[in-house]
Amino acid sequence: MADPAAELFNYLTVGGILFALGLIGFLVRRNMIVMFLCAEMMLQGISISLVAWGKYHANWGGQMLVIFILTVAACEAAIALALVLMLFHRSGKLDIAFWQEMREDGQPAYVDREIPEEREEDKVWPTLTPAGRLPSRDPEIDLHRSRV
Amino acid sequence: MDSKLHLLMVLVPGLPLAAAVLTALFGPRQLKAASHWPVILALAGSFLASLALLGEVKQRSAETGGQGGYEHVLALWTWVDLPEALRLDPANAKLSGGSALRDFRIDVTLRADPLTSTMLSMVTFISTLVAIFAAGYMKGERGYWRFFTYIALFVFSMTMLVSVSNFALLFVFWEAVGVCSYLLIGFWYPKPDAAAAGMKAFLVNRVGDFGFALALFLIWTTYGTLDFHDRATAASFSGEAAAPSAESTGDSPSDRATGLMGVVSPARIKANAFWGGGVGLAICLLLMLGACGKSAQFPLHVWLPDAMEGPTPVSALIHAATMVTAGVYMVTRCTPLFSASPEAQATVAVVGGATALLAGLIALTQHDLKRVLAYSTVSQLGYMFLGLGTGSLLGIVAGMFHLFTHAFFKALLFLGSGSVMHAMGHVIDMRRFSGLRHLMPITHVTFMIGCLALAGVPPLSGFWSKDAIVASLHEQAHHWQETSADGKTSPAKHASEESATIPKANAPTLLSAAALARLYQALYYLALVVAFMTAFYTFRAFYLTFYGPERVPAEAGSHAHESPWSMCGPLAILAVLAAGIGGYLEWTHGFAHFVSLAPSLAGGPVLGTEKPGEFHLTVAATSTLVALGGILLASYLYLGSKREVQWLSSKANLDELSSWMDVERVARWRNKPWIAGIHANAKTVGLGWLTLMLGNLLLFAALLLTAPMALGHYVSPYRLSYRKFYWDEIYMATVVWPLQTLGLLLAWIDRWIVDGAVNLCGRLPTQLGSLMRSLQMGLVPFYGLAMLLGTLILIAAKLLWAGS
Amino acid sequence: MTLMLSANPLWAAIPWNDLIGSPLAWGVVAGAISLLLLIPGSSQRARTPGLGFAAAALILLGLGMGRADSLGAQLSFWVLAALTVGSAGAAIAMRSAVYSAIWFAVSLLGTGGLFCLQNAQFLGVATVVVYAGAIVVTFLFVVMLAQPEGHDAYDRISWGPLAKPVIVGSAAVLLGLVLGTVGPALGVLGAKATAKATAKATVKTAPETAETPSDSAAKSKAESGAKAGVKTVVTESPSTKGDETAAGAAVTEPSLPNRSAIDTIDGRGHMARLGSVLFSRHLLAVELGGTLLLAALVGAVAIVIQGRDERAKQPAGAGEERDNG
Repeated sequence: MADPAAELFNYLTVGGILFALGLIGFLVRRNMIVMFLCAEMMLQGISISLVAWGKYHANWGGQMLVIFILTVAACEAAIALALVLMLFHRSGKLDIAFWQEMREDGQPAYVDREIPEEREEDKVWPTLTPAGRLPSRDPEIDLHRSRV
Repeated sequence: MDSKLHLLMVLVPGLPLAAAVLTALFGPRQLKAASHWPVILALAGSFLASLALLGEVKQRSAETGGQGGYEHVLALWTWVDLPEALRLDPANAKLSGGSALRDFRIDVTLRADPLTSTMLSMVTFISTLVAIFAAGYMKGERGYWRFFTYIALFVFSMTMLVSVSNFALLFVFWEAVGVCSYLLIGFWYPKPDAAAAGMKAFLVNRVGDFGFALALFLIWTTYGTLDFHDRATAASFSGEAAAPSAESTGDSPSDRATGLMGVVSPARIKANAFWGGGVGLAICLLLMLGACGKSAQFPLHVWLPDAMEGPTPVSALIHAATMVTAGVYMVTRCTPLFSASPEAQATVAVVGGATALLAGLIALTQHDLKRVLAYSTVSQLGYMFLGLGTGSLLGIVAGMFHLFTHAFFKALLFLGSGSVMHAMGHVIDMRRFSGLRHLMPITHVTFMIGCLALAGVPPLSGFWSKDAIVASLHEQAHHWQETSADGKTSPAKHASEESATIPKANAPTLLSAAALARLYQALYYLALVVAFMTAFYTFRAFYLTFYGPERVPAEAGSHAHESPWSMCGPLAILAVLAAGIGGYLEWTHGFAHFVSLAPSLAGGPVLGTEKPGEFHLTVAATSTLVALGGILLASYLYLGSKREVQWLSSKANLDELSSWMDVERVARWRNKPWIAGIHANAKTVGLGWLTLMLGNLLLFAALLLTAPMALGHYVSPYRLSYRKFYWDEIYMATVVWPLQTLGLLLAWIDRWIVDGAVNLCGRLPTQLGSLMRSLQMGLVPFYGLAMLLGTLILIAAKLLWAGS
Repeated sequence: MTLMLSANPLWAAIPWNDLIGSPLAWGVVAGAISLLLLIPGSSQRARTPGLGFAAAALILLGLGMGRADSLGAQLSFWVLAALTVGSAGAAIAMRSAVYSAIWFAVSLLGTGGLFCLQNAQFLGVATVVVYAGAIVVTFLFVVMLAQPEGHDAYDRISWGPLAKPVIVGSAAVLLGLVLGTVGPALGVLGAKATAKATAKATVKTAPETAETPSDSAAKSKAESGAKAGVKTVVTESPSTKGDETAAGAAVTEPSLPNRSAIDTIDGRGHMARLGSVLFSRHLLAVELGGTLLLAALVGAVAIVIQGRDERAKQPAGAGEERDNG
């Protein structure tokens, strides 16, 4: 590419967009799994920018940092998923808004003012085989779980 | 030799202090109902010590007496020492002796001189008897130990008050007796009246104390010292402890030149280095204000009658015999200062005379036995000030003599009234009981002796002292008449003849000798009138209580009998002394000779024309006749059917005037036959409305005209006397209410503006915090959004404001 | 305020007129609109206009980017960038966590491609392997454990009525600010139209703005662009880069042998050189990273085990009581 600055800017744009998308997803979505996906997406945006800067300056720094980002992302994913599982065990949901229970005393609940009706044409979902052993069904617990 | 004297000087106040501490510590738990024992024993010990001290002082003053008097000063320790605190101006320094630079130094010093030792023996004696009396009177009261602690504390304060040899310490104990008085008046503090009376006494005394404090400041800045006695040199004080005693008899002035002269010390009196003129007058008037407060002189007399809310022994001890005489003592001690300012002396005399007259008039109509005695006390204190106000040695000694005898018979009267009160179940209104002479024979006899003494019937104590005062007034009037007749126009000139060396003292005065002569003549007649009134109201109270049909109030119950021996014993002792001590001291000339050896009285201009102790037959006869007249009038009015009393009091009350105010009576005119006839006739011709209207107009006019006359009802002589000349109401309207309003206003400001600001400072963070609290909504994405917005704000700030 | 604004070179350097005319800006706007329409929130989804806006956004963004020399390079960049961005958008727009994960994996493939385009072949492969192969699969496992259907009511809504527009708007503003300041600083965005203005600003604020090399390079470019009046052709950049690198290395690491060979990231022997740099210069960091991984492994296991203990200790249903409240 003829103009290194222009090339850099292209990659920075892509990285920035990826970062912004991840940010939006992290803040808008309520599913904890999706939120962590979005966090990883932000890391990807940063990675692209770093590699582009490294190329522009013609040194290894960018790529080295991205390697460590990969490492840290893997650690983060492990810990975060374990925590998500814990939270899931406690609440039976992957909903981050459930944990609004931990708000200050006397503050009103903020979420779930309205739940949009699901349209018929949207009710098309892939079915996945549940992984692992079939858990023992406790009807008491099932009553309070959203879906199992 | 000295050590015995020193021991006695310390023992006299020390024993009551020890008793107070002991009772306070062990009273509530260990001593309980036996709390009076340590106090009585200590007071008795203190009395014996003061008797021994009196004897010692008498002996020494007789040995060394003569010009200059006798004083002995014992310095215990130094309380305050601020080196070079004041630079006097050179003229002052020359006047005061010593250097111009003065240390502000207060040594805790006790003194022994005739005046002090007389006061000490009187105070300790009365207080011992009162403590014995109180042991019976207060039996079973709640806070028994507290009462005796206060009594012991009071005796300590009072003995210290008369013992100390420094104005600052005098002020300290002046306040201390005030505090004890406050505590004892409010002893029954659950009673609202008692609590209010205590506060009133304390607050009224503050006015006087303010004047006293100002006087002390003036004395400090003009004389450069607050000590009564001379201080030889600073070095000799700081040496050994026993050194500072200063026998000051007949020392040559040159010895004194190097040391500091005390304010009322023999050296200063000899040098006659006192301030006259404006400053001297100011000092004396301010001192007099202080004395007015403590001794309940007009216009600060209002607290003493209310102080009768306290237990009766307290009334006897503090509010009749001892504390209230502190003002008299102080003025006597400061006699040289007053001598330098004839106007001040005249003021003392006028204030005393006014108080004596006013209180006597009020006492005529009171129904409360203790209040009659209280106003009588105020009146007698006025008498003492009359004596002091003459400025002659005769008068001052007479004032002190009256103080001395009055303490006995007034304590007797109060304790007698306490005995009555005890028997009547704390009822003291004379309208509710009468004829108690058979029920309480001892009280009756002793009370009669006290009354006779107070009225001034010849062989008894009161006669001698009162007669001495009247005689001194008579003499003083003569003295000024002679002075003015001799062509000496100004008393200042008369005074300054003896002290030509003093530049500033004895500046020209406002009063001429002739005016003073007229003044003292008027005061002489006034004293006679007051003596008449005294005899009258004393026996009025006596007859109302002990004569007439035997009536006992319901509250008395089974108490209505003679009091126990612990109460009757002191009554008997006091009765003997009230009867005899005046005559004894008068005939032996002991008191006058002894007291006049006090340094304050033993030199200077006070040594006037008249030697004390001479007997004036004409004056004595006059005052005896006056007193007997008062007693006879009281007997005539109150021993019979009392019809005349009714008639007199209704006349004095201007009852006719008050009947004019009666609307119903005026309206009854309408029913008179001729008016009714006119009205009926007018009605027949149809003019009924006219006559009705005219009648109503006339009625209205009549009411308008009679209203001012009805006002006369409220200022009728009887009503004025009964309502104490409305002094309480006047103070209420002019002082209490404005201050209360101001206080309420300030309280409002404090509460809503000052506190409001403080509370705002407290509430603001709370409110802000609760605002921030609503942000803690527990939504993780919301926190993330906050971070995002914060980042945006930071970037915007960087772009917009941060330079590059 | 205006004084401050005019005095701030960063602000002054933003070519507002150019930005308004730039397809990049409109692409960001279109993307924001499409996200508003597509991602789950309080309002109903409008799939067709949303997809239309998304396509428009991709095209505008593509147009707004700089051109490469060759068509092949240009095309490959376009395709990979579109794949990355588009599938990332799909990942956040999907109502099912499973779909989201799969779209994210696709996005990672595009990212890997972009890495490869930038001479970071190792990273490209590693990203695909580690992320798409391991992390995303783990995510999927968790989803299957927790949410076998893959969707729930809370996947269809956001957490507040205004949350979505505010967040999307803020993110768009953030992106616009970053691009609007970085672009002119690099001399890319608005170089044509604002050449004169930039030159003036440079003259005016010369003493304050002589800082970073990229800044100075941009300025020099801007000046040359202003002279030429055409698209800037930078001839001096490589030499500048070389100087900088040499100088930087000379200052920071004088002891490493054969430095120049290792430090070149282009050319053959990429893996070997990356390895030697990683395990020589960054050895400590590598060790630390390894330790971190181990700690994370242990930590994850510990968390899960502890949670199991707690669940075992609690009576049945106690853990779910919170659900009721």
